[in-house]
Amino acid sequence: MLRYILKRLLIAIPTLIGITIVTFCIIQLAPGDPADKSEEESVVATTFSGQVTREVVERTRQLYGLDKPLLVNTRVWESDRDEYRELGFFGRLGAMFTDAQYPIWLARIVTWDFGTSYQDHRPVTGKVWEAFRVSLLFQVLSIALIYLIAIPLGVLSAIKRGTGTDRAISLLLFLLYSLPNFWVATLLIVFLAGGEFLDLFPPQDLSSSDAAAMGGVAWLFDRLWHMILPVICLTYGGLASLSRYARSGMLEVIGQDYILTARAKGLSERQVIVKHAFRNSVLPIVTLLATLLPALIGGSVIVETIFNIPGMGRLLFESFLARDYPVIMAVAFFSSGLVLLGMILSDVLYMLVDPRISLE
Amino acid sequence: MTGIDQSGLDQPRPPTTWMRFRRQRAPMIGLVLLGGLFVIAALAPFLAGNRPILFADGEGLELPVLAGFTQEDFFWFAGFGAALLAFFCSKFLRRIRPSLSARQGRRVLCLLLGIAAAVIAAIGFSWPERLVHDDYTPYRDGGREASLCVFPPICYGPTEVPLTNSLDSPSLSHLFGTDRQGDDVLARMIHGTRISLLVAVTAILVCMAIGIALGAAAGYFGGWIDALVLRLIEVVTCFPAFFAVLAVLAFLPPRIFWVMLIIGLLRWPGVARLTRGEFLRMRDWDFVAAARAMGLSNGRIMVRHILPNALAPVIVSATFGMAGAILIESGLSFLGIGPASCQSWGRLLSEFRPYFDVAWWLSVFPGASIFITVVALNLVGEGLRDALDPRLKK
Repeated sequence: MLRYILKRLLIAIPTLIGITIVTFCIIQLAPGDPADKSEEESVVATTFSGQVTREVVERTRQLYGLDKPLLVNTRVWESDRDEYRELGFFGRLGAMFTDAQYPIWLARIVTWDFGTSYQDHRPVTGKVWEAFRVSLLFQVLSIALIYLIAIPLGVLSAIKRGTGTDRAISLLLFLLYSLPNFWVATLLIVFLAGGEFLDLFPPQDLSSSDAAAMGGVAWLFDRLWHMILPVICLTYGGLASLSRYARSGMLEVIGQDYILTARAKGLSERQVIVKHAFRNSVLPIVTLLATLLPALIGGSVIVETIFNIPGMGRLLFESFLARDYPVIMAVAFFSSGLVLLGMILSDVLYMLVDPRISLE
Repeated sequence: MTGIDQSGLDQPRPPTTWMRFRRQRAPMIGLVLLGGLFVIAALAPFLAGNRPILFADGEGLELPVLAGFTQEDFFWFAGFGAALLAFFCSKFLRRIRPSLSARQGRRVLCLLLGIAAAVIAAIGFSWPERLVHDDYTPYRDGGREASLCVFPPICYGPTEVPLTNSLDSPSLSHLFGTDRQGDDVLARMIHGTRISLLVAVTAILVCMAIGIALGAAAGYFGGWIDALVLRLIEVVTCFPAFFAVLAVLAFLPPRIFWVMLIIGLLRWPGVARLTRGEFLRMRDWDFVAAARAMGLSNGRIMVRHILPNALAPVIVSATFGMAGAILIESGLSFLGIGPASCQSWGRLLSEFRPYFDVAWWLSVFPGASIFITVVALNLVGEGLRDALDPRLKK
């Protein structure tokens, strides 16, 4: 078991490197960089001549290494460059693969150094950690809710297979699954939070402006109050697939001989369903966690932006707008790493709950 | 099968996919909705616009809508017309020449479609860039009279910017209300239909092209190709799709083409995985061995022999993928990423967002149209799944 996990983790490393290379290339090949941004801003802010601002841009680029090539530095072979003159052949060969933006970044993250944000010069790890804590809270809550709601619904529609209840549940979940989450978010805000209609929930933010002065319980209630609408938006979309799995798993189990045996023994229907069928059918669903993760992380961009929640999604969105490379790279790295971990975890869980599945 | 005369056999033919699809009620509703959306997209200028369809004032009958056609209008209208024509031609062909085999019929149909596409492209790409100055709005608003003046059912243009009637709630004259500039919301939505459909279709074509090619190669050849493709699939899946589209779009010039391409580029792993599975399953089957024994090349075996048998699950996932593409596109537009010139439904919502507090209709109707489109596509997808693979139905 341990060997299998280790092997999976080792295979995950090239994948993670692949992901970061793709991200790196995408964001850096595109036109415009933070130095450009500061050029525009400084042109607006001051009356410097173009010459001076260009110098500022050039210096900013050098400071952050933005003047270097992306993946492979072929400039080491050009004879007119001073910085590589003293290097011998092997020195140049080494520099070719190390003195570029991506290798430098990779070497830094191996030592857990993600740099500082271009925007406010705070360490990236701190920023990402803060955002991650917020997102994690929402994600854990909505995953828990998805499981708590979807599995009973799926089991119920399996038991009542073919009846009106079954069809109603299927239809409801199908419609929920097709609802665009940004639309649901705006409708909830328009109709339930302020606006012309009901004013039941706060439309934005994580807590009220005077939350700091509140006591423990009041603060907690305030926080929960603010979390209800976003959690609804994150939850409803995941219900359909999970309950469909629960339904088909349950149907499969109900057809087995041991359920017939249980019924023949004269057990009550309740006991048959809860003790014999449900336990066996629900196990594989535990492993679906991994498939929920990417959608949740992706969906959080919209929901967090709309509800103004300082989580990973909003951090990413804002970093993109500001071209804040270190933050973007760190968020991409962490979130794809999380997804990878989730995939491995679900495979391991799958084997743990079902010994019939072999390790290979 | 060509040597055997089957006409005398009284056995009932096995139901075709279409016959199985037709029996299901909900997917048929989805199909009708989807067809309706394509009709709306193709006929947008005839359904909503401030130029009359028919106009006569002394000197002969005019068609101001046609005179005001843009290149985009022409492509949609002519493309839709050609598709309809091809459909009825093929039906007609089967009726007058029943001896024609299905294959010959397909060939004729392809030829006709090819000619139509060439003609449409030739006219469309040389479509003149004109500015139409004549303004018919006084006839609509009652300022002037003409002997004959038939306006489209929604007689407002999508971007008139009249600056009167700002933020009117829904009424008989403006069914879905008006926006900040006083433009009719329904008219803007009708003209926005095209973007959503175009995004869905193009993205899914890109996604299927990549997914089928890579999945087929991985499943058929196996070995290091398979390992490489699997790793690629893993890389792309770990990228939360929305996240990555955002990443790319924030840095590319804002053109709707990029949105479609990138959505396609990010959603191919699902298709690739399905295709790979099917190829892997079938590559050792007898019909493949027979084809190989006949000395056919790998490419021919893959394309002509395995692919047609492997296509069913791919088509089903493509239909669901179209719904996903529409959701991603509208979500992006809602956040304000992507081209501002493309008035898709998501872009409309994004533009209306500051006024949601005072005008509920601005949030309800454009979102509902996205919802309906997604529902229609998902319904058709479910119907196709059950019709293509009856084993899956429970």
